[in-house]
Amino acid sequence: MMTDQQLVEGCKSGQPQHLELLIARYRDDLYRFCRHLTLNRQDAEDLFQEVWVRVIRKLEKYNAERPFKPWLFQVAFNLYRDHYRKWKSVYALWNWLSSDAELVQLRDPEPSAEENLLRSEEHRQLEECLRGLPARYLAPLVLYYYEEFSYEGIAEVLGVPIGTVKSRLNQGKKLLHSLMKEMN
Amino acid sequence: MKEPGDNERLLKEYFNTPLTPSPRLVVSTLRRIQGRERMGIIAGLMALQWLVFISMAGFFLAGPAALPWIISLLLLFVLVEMIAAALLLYRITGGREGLEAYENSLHR
Repeated sequence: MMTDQQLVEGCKSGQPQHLELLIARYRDDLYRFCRHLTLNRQDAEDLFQEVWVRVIRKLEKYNAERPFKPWLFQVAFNLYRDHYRKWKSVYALWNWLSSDAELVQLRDPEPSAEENLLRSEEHRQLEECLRGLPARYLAPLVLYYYEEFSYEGIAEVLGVPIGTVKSRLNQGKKLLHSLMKEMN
Repeated sequence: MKEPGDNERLLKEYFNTPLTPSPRLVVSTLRRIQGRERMGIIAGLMALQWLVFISMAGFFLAGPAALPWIISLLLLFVLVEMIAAALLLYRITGGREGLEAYENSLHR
């Protein structure tokens, strides 16, 4: 199996099959991250695609010494925080101009049947409360509960010190707790 | 009222609930990337055309020009348009892969 660095080198030299492998490798993890940030399936798929457009543009700047996954998530978070929420309508227009009609059929604004079954009322209430959290608190929570990212990993993705990660996690949990109390 | 322990359990449950993306997400992502590249080339070509057009307009408006100059500029304009059209066609038809597929179909 090819490593991430080998796939990245392949992408840089213009081999489309390497790009497809790389996107497929991180499809589930990155989609879940985007889904938890945007709290909406359609926006998550939009953000997922925008992340890869940006990754291709920034690939020359990627340092192969670093693991690829934290860098990928860093690009996703920065895009979400700085651009996506403000420029969502512009991206939609740009994609309408450059995309085939077939892509429009991919869009499914309603949650899938599987998602509906798995989401309990408690989860829906929690999601409502998460919508009220600023991005700087939501992102550490999402990364922490993946159970894959350590404090150091979260710090690398967010580009902040470990102390800040811990502080934001605590603040985020407190804010979430008070939002859930209000809702109940 | 929910205790912090309940919230912790709920958060873990929520964030670990399986979330399945659309099965065509990878394909649609690749197409979006290709679409952006096409748009970038189109935007570049349009900018080049405008540059040529403004330069020519400026030249003609500056005053009467000798016939050889006019002919040269017109030929240059036609050449730029042909290169732009060829590049656009090359990208739209899929680049080198598209050309190879076309050649293979001719030799059958």
